[in-house]
Amino acid sequence: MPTDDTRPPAGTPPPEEAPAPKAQDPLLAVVPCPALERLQEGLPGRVGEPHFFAGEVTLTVAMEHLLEVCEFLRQDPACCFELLADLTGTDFLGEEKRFRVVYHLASLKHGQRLRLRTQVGEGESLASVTPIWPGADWFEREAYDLLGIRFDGHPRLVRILMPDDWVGHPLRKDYPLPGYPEHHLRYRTADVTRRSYVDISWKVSGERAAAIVKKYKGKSGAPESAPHAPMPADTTNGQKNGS
Amino acid sequence: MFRTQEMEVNMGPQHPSTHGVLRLELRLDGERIVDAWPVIGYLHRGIEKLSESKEFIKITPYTDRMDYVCAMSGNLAYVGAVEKLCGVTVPEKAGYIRVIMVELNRIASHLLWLATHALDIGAMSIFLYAFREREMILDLFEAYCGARLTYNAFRISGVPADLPPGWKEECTGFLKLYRQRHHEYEQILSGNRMWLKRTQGVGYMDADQCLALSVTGPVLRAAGVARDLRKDEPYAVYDQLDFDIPVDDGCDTYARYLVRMAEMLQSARMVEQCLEKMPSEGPLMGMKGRKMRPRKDEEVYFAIEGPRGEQGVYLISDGTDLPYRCKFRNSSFANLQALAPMVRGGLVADVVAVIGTLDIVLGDSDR
Repeated sequence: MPTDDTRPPAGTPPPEEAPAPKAQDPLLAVVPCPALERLQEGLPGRVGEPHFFAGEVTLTVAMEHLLEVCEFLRQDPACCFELLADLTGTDFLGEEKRFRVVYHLASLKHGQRLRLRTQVGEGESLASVTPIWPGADWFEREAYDLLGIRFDGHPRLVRILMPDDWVGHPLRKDYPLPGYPEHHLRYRTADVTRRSYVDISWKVSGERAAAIVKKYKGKSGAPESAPHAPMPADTTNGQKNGS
Repeated sequence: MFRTQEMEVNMGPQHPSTHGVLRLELRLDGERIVDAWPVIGYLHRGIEKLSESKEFIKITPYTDRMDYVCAMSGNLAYVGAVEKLCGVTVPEKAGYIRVIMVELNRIASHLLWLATHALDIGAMSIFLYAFREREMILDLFEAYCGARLTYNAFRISGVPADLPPGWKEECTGFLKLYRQRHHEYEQILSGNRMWLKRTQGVGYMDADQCLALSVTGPVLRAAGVARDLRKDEPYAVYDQLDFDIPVDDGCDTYARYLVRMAEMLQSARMVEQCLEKMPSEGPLMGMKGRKMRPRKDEEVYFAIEGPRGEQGVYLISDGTDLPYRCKFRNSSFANLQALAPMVRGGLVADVVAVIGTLDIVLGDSDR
């Protein structure tokens, strides 16, 4: 198993690139983050080891401590993350705790960003951060809609992008890309509008249909002998729908 | 005794002022709005789900289809995120071309906003004028990348082509003309009594509320916060350009109008500088080949300042050339949350003004 170097072991490694030691990789450089030091001081032991990648700081926090850490990051004057830029989840199917939820925080005052990451299992629910950042409302609804992650304390956790009566959560990894065919059938027009549309094409047939078509042809000023045949009754439909 | 009864009215999804398919469930007390509940998702195409089955390079055209009014920004946010994830550097010339395109697209996007916003409120003529200039920008885009709306103009690590011959002169000519025309728009609207009556004090939202609701972009800047990622976290070549961030502290629809108008001039200024400073020679792509090899189990978030606010892309890689997760943080989605608090307590007629002032694109919010 390759440990840090994620270049494909097999195949053709580029000859000029020797595997560089971790410390010299510019992507993995440690960046200064004052909020992180403050957080480790103010709430010791609540967050895991920081991870640095491409100039970004990721902190892992257990779901029990999430609200406490968020509150601290929002209120502490040295952190002061006023803006919740994004909140989203990812399905890591097969892991012990299935979903990973990330919070992208931004501080305008100090000009820094921080990513908080937490994990939540399928049956569990996460504390909602809407009391701290009301803007989390829609982001949490989206995570619930597309991934089925539940948030405790959310004002109204309902679907946002998918239809209200959709079955399943599409962004889960075990949800097939084309969807479930049996669910497609549920979205026939007649079901959605709760009205029965009568397709007249099978009710009128034969001579009468020809007469109707002729009548309207005449009205629109088209020649009687139209080059294209008048639309006849759909015979397959007619047979299917019976008498 | 008069007794009023609250009434529920459904606005949209086919209402002409909703700029797409936004539905609002309004609860009214007479003409006053008690509450509003936006219903979105009519344009949800599952782009995030689709992205998980596509190579990095094949996702760029999907980003055009999200914010189709400013597709260049969508392209830039996405390719920027992949470049950040893979540690790819972009040649300087490509950076300049990107900024030229994005800023021209910002002008086009704001012109579309101006046209439709003013039309919704009742000013017809500005609609025709603004579309006239937008058309010229689309012609420039067509000359560069062959498309007028969905450009797919950037590649990961650069741009596919240099500016065509004569393009620079065309663009300079357009910018010169644009400045005159911009002055005309301001003459039509800025002091217009009807415009002032319909926009001043409408859709009030102060800085604290904006930040609490994750609202960014011109709406936040019109609340007095000079937040602009082009200055705060410079990407591409913005750190080499000289420009100002227009800020207003009016917090209302009129302030947002002023901010966006000033932004258009700043964008024109930036494009002029780019045309001047751009090196005439140099590579356009920083990387050969099409295979991305990101590190395993890493994640990046890259955000740019789109015309509507922070436009971010969050990527998780699993070491293959398909993203494990690709999330688009689109500004229309976040900004639309501000709609209900903005219209609450106002009049029904102002809903139209507020939808216009938020400058939402439903394809952007629904993905």
